Amino acid sequence: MEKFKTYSIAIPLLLFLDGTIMQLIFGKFPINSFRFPVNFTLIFALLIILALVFIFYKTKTIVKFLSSGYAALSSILFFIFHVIIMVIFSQNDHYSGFWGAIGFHKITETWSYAYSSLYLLLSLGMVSFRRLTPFNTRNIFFYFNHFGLWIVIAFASLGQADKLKLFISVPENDIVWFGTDSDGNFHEIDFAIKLNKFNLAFYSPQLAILDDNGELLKVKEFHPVDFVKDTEIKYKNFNFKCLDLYEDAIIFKDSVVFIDDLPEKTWLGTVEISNKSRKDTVYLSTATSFHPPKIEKLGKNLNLILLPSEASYFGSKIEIYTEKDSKPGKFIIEVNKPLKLGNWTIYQNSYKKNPGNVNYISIFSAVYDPWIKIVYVGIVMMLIGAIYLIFSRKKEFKK
Amino acid sequence: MIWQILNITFIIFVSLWLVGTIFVFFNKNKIKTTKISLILPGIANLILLTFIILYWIEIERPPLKTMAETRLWYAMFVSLIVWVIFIRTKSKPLYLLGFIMSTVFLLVDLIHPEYQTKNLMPALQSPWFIPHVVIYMISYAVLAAACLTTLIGYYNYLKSNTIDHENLRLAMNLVYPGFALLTIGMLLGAVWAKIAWGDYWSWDPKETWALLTWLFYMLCIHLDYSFPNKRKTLMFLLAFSFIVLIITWLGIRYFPNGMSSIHVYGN
Repeated sequence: MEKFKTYSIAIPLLLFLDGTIMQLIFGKFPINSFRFPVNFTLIFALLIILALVFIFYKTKTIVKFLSSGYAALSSILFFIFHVIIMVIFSQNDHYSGFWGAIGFHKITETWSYAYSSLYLLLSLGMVSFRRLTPFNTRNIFFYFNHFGLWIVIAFASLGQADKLKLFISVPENDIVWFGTDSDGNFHEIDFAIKLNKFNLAFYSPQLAILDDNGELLKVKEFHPVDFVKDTEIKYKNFNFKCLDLYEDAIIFKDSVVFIDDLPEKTWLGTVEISNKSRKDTVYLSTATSFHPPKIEKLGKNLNLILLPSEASYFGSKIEIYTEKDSKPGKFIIEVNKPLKLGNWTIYQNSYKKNPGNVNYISIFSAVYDPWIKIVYVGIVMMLIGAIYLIFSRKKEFKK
Repeated sequence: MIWQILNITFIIFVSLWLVGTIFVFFNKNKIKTTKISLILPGIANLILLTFIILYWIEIERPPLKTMAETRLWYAMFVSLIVWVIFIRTKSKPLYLLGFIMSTVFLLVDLIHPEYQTKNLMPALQSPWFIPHVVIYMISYAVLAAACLTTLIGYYNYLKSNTIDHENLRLAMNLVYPGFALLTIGMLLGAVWAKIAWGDYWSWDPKETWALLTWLFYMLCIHLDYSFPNKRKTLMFLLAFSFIVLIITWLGIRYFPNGMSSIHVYGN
């Protein structure tokens, strides 16, 4: 056992040392070299090697160590070390200097991180083989927990080499057949998206107080409130009562003017302000890029305003053109409701607008992730294992 | 507004628990003690649950968005879990510590109520939202009970200089389901993220901290399983893991990149 203790300390140290040297010589870990079929072959080979080693060296140190508690603790701790680096150091690969050179500012792209994942895979894999026998309930769920995690780590790390995520910006009534990846590279895709209509809905704005530096007042006595008719709120000597709220309206020469097709959502609200010395009704309006907000200054660091409203819904009515289909398919894509299209899944990512333009630009993300189904198998196995774990100590608890 | 009656809810909740605690520690009639000390906190939990439901109805969205709202759930679950453990084990110190912990979290809500809005951003309008957050909250509460049990064990260790194996066993009996719920909460979050954004894992600061918490509890379980003689190390590791958990939940904004997390909202 003393030997195992030495291994459990020496292996992570050596892996980290070797990983750091590799990092200094070759730069970041070349994950993109592991595209299909390399990744699949490697995972398959790893499984075969683990199985063969387990079968032929069952009583040898290597199998005993890798399936022992020492290897489990050592591999988990080595992985924890990398996650700790991740929370301590800003994860931005533009950082230079010593920490940047050894990869601490982009730890998931380091050799050391890749080694720690491999070490986890070896330990998890070996213990999974070891617990295949005896075939009993406890071992089955143990297997779900451990081999499920094995699948997730293997296919999520090596599978990412094949993953492609493109951002596609489509203006209303326009058609687009290309996207950009996270590095800004253009990619032509095998379908085109036409945005027929971008739908957007808003919550009502909130009544708030800003100080003279533009900071929002959030104290126990006052916090922003949803602008709902007859809502009353007190702060210092003032009593504020929300009255009417007008959508797509501005105040012009003391009159409420409604305007169709305003380029941005604009709210106008009337608020009754009262204290010992005054009681009057004022107009407040939200700020947009084409007009300033209408605020009510009540004193030093006391400016009553309407905050711009938050989106409650956004979604796109689109047509998809593909080479295969002669007629375009019509779809609606919303947040949390992506569209599956062949090998791609299209998501409603966000939206933007050109200042001064009435139309919106809908931003989609199209994701090609060929290994996702296998990752889901791993996730389901882990979920089954976790459900068993909830009740695994029930008898013990009753003692 | 329902939130305005949180102070009354708090007073009733604390009073009922307090009377229950007094009966647990000072009454000599054991049968009566047990009954009263069970019934009163049970009612207190029901009252807090009723408050959450009424608040939920009023704001027309699941009250799981802001830190203040998650603290409410946490106070309720911690209180509920120590109550259930008391039914089974009659652990007096845990009863007291659980009550104090729930009270502290409710008190923070009274001091920092944050602002309550009906708004719920489109990304959170998903059937995955409630199970993801509620399972995490239950898990955090179970692991809080495990940590409190460990602290009691550590106090006993300091007093007698011998490991309190009974307490540590109870703590681990809580860590197993707590860790399992942590796993389920994390995996549900990953599936939801895949459906919403196309990535099941994006190394968001909150995700990274959540993974760290998960790994530390994984370490506890493996230490307990493979090294049954390392009880003292296990005690420290359990306490430390809970600190990591609390940072994950409440403290990531104080770390580099913390504020860039998509999970920092509602404040």
